[in-house]
Amino acid sequence: MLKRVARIGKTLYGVFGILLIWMLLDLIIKSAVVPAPFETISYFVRHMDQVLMHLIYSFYRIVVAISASLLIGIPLGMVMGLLRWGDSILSPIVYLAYPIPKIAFLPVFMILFGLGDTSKIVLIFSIIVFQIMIGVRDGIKAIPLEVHLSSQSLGLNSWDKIRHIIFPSILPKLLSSLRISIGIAMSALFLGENYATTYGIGYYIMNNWIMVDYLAMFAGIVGLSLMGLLIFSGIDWIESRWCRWTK
Amino acid sequence: MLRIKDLSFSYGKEKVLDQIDLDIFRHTTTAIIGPSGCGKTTLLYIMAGLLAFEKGEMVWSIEHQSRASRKGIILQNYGLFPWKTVENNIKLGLITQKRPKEVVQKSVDEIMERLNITEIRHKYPHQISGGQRQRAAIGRTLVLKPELLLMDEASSALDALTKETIQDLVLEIFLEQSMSMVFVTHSIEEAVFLGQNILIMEQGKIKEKIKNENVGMADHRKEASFYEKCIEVRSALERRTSC
Repeated sequence: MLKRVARIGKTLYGVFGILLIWMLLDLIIKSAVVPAPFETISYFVRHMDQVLMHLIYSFYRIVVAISASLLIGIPLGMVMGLLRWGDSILSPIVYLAYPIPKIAFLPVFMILFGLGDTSKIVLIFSIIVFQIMIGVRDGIKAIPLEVHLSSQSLGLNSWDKIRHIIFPSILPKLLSSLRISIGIAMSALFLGENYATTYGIGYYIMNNWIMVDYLAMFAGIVGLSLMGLLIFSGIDWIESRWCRWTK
Repeated sequence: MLRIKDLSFSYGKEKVLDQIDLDIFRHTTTAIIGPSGCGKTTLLYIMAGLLAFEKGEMVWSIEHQSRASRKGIILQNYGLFPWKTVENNIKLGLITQKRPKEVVQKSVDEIMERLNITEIRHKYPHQISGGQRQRAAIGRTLVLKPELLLMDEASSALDALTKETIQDLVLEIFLEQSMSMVFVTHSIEEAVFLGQNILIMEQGKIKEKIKNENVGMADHRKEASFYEKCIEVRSALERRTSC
């Protein structure tokens, strides 16, 4: 209960902190480029249906990309972490591909996967999946020898070992990787949604910028920020349920 | 119950165990003592099936051939799983053996009661003391009812009093159950308190075997025979390891 109150307190502190900085900026700049926070929030509430529709499109793209990254990244990371040959084959590929700015491939993805959602999902996937693979691999390699020996002495088979030893031990690192990569993925999605689509919060923000409707643009930014809060809170929730020993 | 014959083991070119011959009899305790790097932990790991030996034989007697969980090991740092509570650590071995739920719970409750750790059943290993972690590790091994209990310097990280409490507990359990016990230690006192057979190892070989008949004697630590045996083991160690 106390922890929950503390968490809510931290979120409120964040919200008020940002509002305060925003108000100060508004007072100092005194320009339409930075609209007043309460005016923006009022706009956001009045046009909730519109903003929400774009947010749902972006949320859908992010969730599908995260799911695909986890489905593919976790097994590949396990191969890298558990099998020496797996690490030898996959690590050089990951090290070469990971630093490349994936946004540069957006035109290629558009040609290969079409102008719809798939190319944008593939873009986010290409950003997240490497981080997941590396996080899982490093998580496995950090498991102490005594844990392996204990599981061996208890006679755990391969599946039991993955379920009871490998998966719980990599989970904190996996969630950290996810947190870092989602921040990058949301920025990439913002750019990706500016091409060949009329749906998504990235499109909504940039379109209103072009239309010189700064109030709507900032309402979109507020929406994007709230979506980030929702996703990160979801990861925090998973961590609090599944990684209790880290508290 | 277990016969080891002419067993050798190397890490690369370095010979760690050299022609080990050893018999472990039913319901006996054996202490292995010797300087660091003499091969005692390696020998224990081979007995536990955690390392494969390259030369020699390790034969279980006929009546133990079919038992899957005939041996259990308690590691130096206990090897508890940090992400599992004390109760779930103890349960794991039984769960993976696909035992019925009621049987698992009953066995776990009984062993926690016996080891006096019921109150910390929902705690994680990092939330409990060294002595409690030691008890949890003992519980996780004993719940599988091994016929041979192996311990690798299992009380080395504990303070003197907790160490003695754990030694008393291990001795009580040994006297109650029909298992055998082999343990590696650096402590002469522990070897004499718990070991009916004390093996002195040096450079991968068993150099001397000392019989110790007073294990289980009431107030053993306060008896003159305890100190006499400690002196005997110390002299043997000095003799064997100084050459």
